[in-house]
This record gives sequence, C-alpha cells and structure tokens, in this order.
Amino acid sequence: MAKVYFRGRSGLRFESVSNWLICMSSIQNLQQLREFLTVYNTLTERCFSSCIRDYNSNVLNKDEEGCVSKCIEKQMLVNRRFMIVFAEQAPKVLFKQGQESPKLTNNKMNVISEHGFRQDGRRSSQIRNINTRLGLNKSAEGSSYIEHGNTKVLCAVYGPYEGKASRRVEDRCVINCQYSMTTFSGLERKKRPRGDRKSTEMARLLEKAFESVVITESFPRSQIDIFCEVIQSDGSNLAACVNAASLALADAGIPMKGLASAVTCGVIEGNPVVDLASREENDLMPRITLATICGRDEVVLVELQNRLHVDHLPTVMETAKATCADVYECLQVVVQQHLRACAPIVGN
Amino acid sequence: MTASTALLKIVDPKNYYESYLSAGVYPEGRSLRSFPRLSFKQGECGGVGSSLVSSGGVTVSCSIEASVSLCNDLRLITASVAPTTQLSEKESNEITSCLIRLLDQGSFVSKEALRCKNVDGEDLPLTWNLEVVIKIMSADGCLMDAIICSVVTALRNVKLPLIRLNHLLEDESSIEKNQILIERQSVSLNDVHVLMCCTFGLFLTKAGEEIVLCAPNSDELNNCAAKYVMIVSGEEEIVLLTGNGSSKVFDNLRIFNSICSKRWKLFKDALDKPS
Repeated sequence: MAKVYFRGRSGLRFESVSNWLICMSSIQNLQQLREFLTVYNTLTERCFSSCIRDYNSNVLNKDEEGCVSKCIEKQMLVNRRFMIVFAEQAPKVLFKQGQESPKLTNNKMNVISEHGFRQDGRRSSQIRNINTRLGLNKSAEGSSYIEHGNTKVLCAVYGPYEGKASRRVEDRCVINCQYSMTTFSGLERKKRPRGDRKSTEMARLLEKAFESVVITESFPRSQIDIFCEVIQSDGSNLAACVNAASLALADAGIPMKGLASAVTCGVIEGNPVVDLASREENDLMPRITLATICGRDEVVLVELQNRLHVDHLPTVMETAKATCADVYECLQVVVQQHLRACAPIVGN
Repeated sequence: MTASTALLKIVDPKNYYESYLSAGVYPEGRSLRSFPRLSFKQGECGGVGSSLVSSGGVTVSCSIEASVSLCNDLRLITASVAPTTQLSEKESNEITSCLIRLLDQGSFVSKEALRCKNVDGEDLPLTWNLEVVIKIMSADGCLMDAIICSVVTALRNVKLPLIRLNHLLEDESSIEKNQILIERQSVSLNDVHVLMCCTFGLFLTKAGEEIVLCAPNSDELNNCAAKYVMIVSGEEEIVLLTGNGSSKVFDNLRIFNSICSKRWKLFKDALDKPS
C-alpha cells in the first residue's frame, strides 16, 4: 500500500495524494469529486489531529507514519463494509415493493431544551420580535408589512367599493380575503402561490374573523378586499396574517370594533408554548390560533389543529389570550406612531 | 306561527329570537341545551359502507367506495361533497377541507386498519383506498354535525373482503392485477374512532348577555354573534375546534366540551348496540 503523507498545517508533501489525484482525474462526475474531497478533507483533519504530535520536523516520523497508515486503512475498511451492508439492506428496507417508506420524522423532537429554552433561544412564553411598516402600497387604501421573527407578511386592503352585484348584501359589507404564499416562502419551492386547499381554508378563516371585527353595517351593499401575501413562512402564518390585516385595515381607516391581534399557541407535555416557529409546528403537536379584539376577552377566531386533551384547554386559552394582549400592545403602538407621522400631512 | 310572529320574524329577527331564547326555548319548542333528534340508518346507499343521517332540518347520506392499491404514503381516504344547489361553493369547499384535515390526522380510522389481509389474518403488501362521497339532501341546520355522524356511521358499516395474493412476498417483481383475488369472506373495519361534532351558537341579547345555543338552525345561526364547531373523540379529547364571531366569555369552551362529550357517549352507545 502506498505510504500516506499529509499536507497539513506543517506544509509536508503528500506522496499518495498524487496517486489519488490520478484516480480523481478519471472521475467524470463533479459531484463524486466533491464528495470525495469532503471525505478526504475530513479524514485529513481527523488523522492530523489524532496522529501528528511532533512539529519539530517537516517529515513524518516512524510512529506518526504507522498511526496515519492504520487510521486510513481502518477508515477505508469501515466505509467499504458500510457500503456493502447498505447495498444489501437498502432494497429490502427502503425500497421494498408494497411497503410504505419508513417514517423518518422524529416524533420526539425536543422543542424545549432541558434548560427551558427553545431552538431560537426564546422561553416558552416569549414571542418573536415584531417589526411593522404601514402604508407601503400607495395604490391600496391601506397596506401593512409585518414580521414575526422570520415570518413576513404583506397585506393590502382595497375598499370599501361597490362589488359584484351577485355578492352584494343589502344591509352590510362583504369581506373578501385572499391568502397566498410566494413560491419561495417555504423550504420547498411551491408550484402554485394560491388556489390550493390550504390557501382557500386560510382565506375563509380570515374572512370569518374580520366579518366580526369590521363594522360591516357602516357600508351596506359594498365590498372590502383583503389580500395577504406570505413572503417568508416560518410558522404562525395565520396569526401573522390576522395581525397584518388588522394594521392594513387601520391604515385604510375602515371602522372596526378594535384592533384584532392573534397568536398561535402550542402545547408540549401540558405546557403552553407561544408564537410557534415552523420547526416547532408538526403534525402531532396540538396548537391553537386565537384572535381577540383589543387584547380583551372578545374572541373573534379560534382554530385548533391536532388533538388536544381537554385538561390542557383552559391553560392554553389563558396563555394565548394573555399573549394576544401583548401583541395588541405592540400593534397599538405602531398605529399610534403611524397616526402621529400622518398628522402633519392631514393638517391636524 | 301567527301572522304577527311571522311578521316580527321578518322585520326584526333578533327581537323575535330573543323573546324565545330569553325564556329558555327555541321557537320550535326545544330547550336551549337539547339537540334535535338524530337518526341514522346504515347500509342504505350502496358502496362497501353507507349511511343516511337525519338531524333536525339536515339530511345527509354518505357512501364509501373501496379500491386496492400497493401500500404507499399517499392519502388513503379521500372525501368529497357532491355539488348541490343548497350549498355555495365556498361552504362546500370548507366542509371538504375540514373532512380532509380530519382524515389526514387519522381521526376517523388509522392507516394500519386499511391494510389488506388474507384469510389467515396476515397483512399483505396491499392497502384499501376509500372514497367517501357525501350527498346533502337538506341543509337547514348544522351540516357539519350530520356529516361527521354520517361518515362515522358509514365507516362502521364498511365491510371489506379478504384478499388472496398469488404472489410471493419475497418476490421483488411487480404484483400483477390478476394475482390479486377477492375472497367471499369480508370483515368490518377495525378501530373506527367515533367522533361527535356539535355546533354551538352564541346569541347576544340586548342586555349584553350571551346565550349558548346547541345546534341552532340556519336562521338562528345567522343571528348569533359567534359560531363554534367542536369535534370530540372521547370524553377527554378535542379533535377539532373552530370558532369565529364576537364572543366575550372564555368559559363557554368548557360548557361546549361537556355537552359534546355527553352527546358523544350517547352516540357511541347507540352505534355499539347490536342491530
């Protein structure tokens, strides 16, 4: 077997690398080359750290040579053995005809560490940073941009205007919502930004919520359109859309019973966790999206996902209500600042 | 209904309903915390399982068709609501997405229960795919309540034949259609979870008091300040909860859960009773 020398931090020449480079030149696939280089660099680093002890010479001494050879040989043997076992077992386990693929999700993902912190460093009761801007879209009656951590939502409000005759209601205004996610908003690129089942469901939830918030009797026979676009999705999308729509309606000057504020609250082992990020939202954890008016007891939207034990319901609802009040405080400050900024223009 | 009450209902519906609800009864004489009579019949509408459910002014039929496929990760049970003039497209889509959500969660029946079995009770690398079709005959009331009941009843009625597979399990070649044979014996679906759906309305009186209405009809629901739908799968587990409208009292959710759980118990006992 060719002796192996490593060119590491000491600057020594590696004789066997040339043999490897000759082999590499025959490797057509660039991906294979990359993978090979990754393995090589990792191996070099590990072997250097484990075997090289003497920095007084620019050549490997006998002990270091022996150590490095054994290291490489063992690594190669293990890799070869691993590939043989994989080649034998993979067709049976992963690709067996008529079998479902094995479940790769980790149902026991630790959302909260033993010290009580979440993956992004927050406590269970902490919400993400909220950044907002109002009045971005000059062509809309009202618009807003909101960030809940990495979840970013744009909202535009049009109306009230005289909508389609078929949809007109004599004594009140019709609220029409559209929910869409940009194709680049999530981890995987979406094919359709809107029109799928989930978007339709979200739009309907938003419509129902804002039918209770907007004083619809003020605008009979008319329509208000609310368009929410999720630019970046990192969990609690519905709550972010409710908050964005609330700000946009305030920017449009549409009379409401109050500012609606929303939050998504999950339950882990009986303990509530507020403002969930996308990593924390999974198919097993029950979560409630709650929206209230002015942070008070007045609930305009409740949406539960996944099964929830009835004993956890009061705790999670109380926590969600308190968090809605906190979010409302943030939104209220934003609206007041926006009004102060607009006051000189209006002439007040 | 006299002419004057009919006129009051048209001119001032809120006042009309408040006069009855404040006295603790619905206009049709039902007490506030009682539900309309729920009746169901199984096996009347074709397919491998079916049911016909009637509750108050709502009548819904559910039929289930089955097909066989190789085990896969795709959705095994699909649901659709047949188009009807009684429902708008939005409402129909809402009901369908709610059903699909429940099916995806495995709330009605687990994936393992749909595995094909042979006469010896062994699992085969095949699974049943079920297609649930809901037909709405009349929609004057709480549709979701009746639809969930009909799906549960129809799944309980499902009888799937055993399969004989003339293909060795160790054989890696693809399974041909002619190797799958249906036996005369059939078995019911195991582990069909019983769900109970209840719709509640919260009526706000002029004095600001909230009155809880159980399974109100469409007119009463239109005059309610808030509407909640709760689905439970036992005395302690809430499967789905949606609510919208303006509602002031948080304790209502506890009341909803206790009413729903009692109704679930009665429904389960009725389903388990041998016919």
